[in-house]
Amino acid sequence: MPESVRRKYERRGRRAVAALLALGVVMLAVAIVAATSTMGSITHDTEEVEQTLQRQAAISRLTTYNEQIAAGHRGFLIQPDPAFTRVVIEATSAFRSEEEELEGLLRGAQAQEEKLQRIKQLSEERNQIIEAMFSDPAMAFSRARELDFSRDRGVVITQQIRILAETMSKVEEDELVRRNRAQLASLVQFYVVGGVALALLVTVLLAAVILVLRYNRDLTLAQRGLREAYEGLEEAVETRTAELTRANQEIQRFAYIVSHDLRSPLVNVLGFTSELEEARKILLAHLTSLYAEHPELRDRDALLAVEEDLPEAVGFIRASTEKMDRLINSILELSRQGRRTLAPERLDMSEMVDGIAASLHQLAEDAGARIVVKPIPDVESDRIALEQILSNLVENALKYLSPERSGLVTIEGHREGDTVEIDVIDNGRGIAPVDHERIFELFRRAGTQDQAGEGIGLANVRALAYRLGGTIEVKSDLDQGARFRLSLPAKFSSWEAKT
Amino acid sequence: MNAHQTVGIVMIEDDEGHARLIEKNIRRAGITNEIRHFTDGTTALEYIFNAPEGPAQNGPAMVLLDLNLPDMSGTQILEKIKQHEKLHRTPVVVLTTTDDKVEIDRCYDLGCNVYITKPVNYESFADAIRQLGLFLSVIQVPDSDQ
Repeated sequence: MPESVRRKYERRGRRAVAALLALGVVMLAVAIVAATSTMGSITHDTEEVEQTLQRQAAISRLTTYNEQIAAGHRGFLIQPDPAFTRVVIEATSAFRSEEEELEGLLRGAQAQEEKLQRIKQLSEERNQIIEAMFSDPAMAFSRARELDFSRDRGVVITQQIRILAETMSKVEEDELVRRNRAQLASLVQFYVVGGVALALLVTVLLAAVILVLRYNRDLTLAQRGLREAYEGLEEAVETRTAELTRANQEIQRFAYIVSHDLRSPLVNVLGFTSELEEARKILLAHLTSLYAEHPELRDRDALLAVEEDLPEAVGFIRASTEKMDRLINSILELSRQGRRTLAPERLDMSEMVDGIAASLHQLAEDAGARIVVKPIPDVESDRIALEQILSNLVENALKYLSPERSGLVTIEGHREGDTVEIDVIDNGRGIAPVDHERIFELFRRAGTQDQAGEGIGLANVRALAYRLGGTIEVKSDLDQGARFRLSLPAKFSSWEAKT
Repeated sequence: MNAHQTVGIVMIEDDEGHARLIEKNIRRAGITNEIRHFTDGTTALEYIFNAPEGPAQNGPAMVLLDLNLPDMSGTQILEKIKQHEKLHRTPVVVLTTTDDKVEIDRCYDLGCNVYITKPVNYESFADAIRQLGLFLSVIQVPDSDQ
């Protein structure tokens, strides 16, 4: 899949996962906040419930003491026993302290407080009655007998307090119910909020997990696809290389057979041309002696034909055929080069180029030129092919010198990554840029045709450079010298050998 | 062995022109031996091995052999001659257009006595034939079991 699509997809996937995780975090936060607030509300409710229970208990105790006071009061009236006095005093004291406590508990509940105040007032009134009774029991007895017991002030007060306490108790009971309900509601709210948050959290996490899983699966699929495509590519390259190698071999074989079979007729053409020449000589000798003996038979045209026309025709036939033979030989040679198995080995290039310069020394001297060899990095390649390329280039440099200056041919090299570049530089007559491609073509030449040659050399050089996995290029201009650059892999590995 | 028996020349050459040129130059070199010309391998082999007047039955001979024949490669003929019990000493001169080193080596390996490349340059061709004439005049036709 294309890089941009993959990146987009990846980004989208990442975004979705990030969004889901963020949502999850928010959910978690909401859940925590909700739980905390609900917990707070529950605590509050519980406290209130407890307070209500305490109030109820206090009210209940108050009621009990109220009854005790009333009972003590009545008992004393019937039989003035100090035991009753003690009961009443203790109950009254307990009543008072309950009152105090209840007052504290009821703080904030106004209606209840008012009722408590009322109870307090009633209780105070009763206390005075009881105290009066204790200080003057006889008076109290007589009055008690006179009066209807039910209309006794003390009894009435006790009843009123009882009623009030009952009312308060009832209120607190209602309050308890209400608060219990509130507590329940809080709990329900807690469970609902917590449950919903938990459910959402789980959903979000599940979604994130599913998304990641799906994304991973897609990624795996894409990787597999990529691997398959890559393997397919390898296979395709291998197949194509095999096809190319076959085609190349076919062309080589074809060139070989064609040039070989073309030579056969040429042998005949040249052979019988020579036979013609031989025959002409015989005819010429015969005519010459005939005319010498019989001048009257002398025919100028016949003599001209034998002396000039025939040799001219034979000469052209021969020259052309010989040229054709040279061309065919060149093709044959090229095809043979192409079929030769390359044998890469470690080559000391400086040594090789020195050798080439030495072998061309005579040629250079004749041309009045100098060859300078500068250091060249070693390469691993085919010796014969490289020697052919370089000696061809140097030979060309020596061949096409400029008459205006003494020739100088420099050979130098340097390494560029995995490539070794070898330059053959001359100060010769140069090549017009329009001819730069042409000079590498078979049987094509450029510039003034004043040197022998068939236009094979550079074609062969380029074919060899390609076979060695390299390239050859030229930089030159007319009368500006030329620089031929051979770029070779530092370590040759044959694609031909792989198939 | 009959010392006066003439050495027949068997020429196996599919190109009539080449055959004619070879013959002309052989004659020009002063060699008068009988030349039998075959343009294909099959009839040539038939003559060499089976004909009553052929070399195998009626020795001695010399073979001029072209490698490019329409029906087989000349090297096959060379191999057959050199493996034959009676003919293995028969001189074989390979005359062909190929100057491929591998092929020349192969011919010598198979027992070829002389290898001549047919040059397009006529003078050197005639020269080669003349040398062949010299060769023919000095060779001792080997004993054959007759």
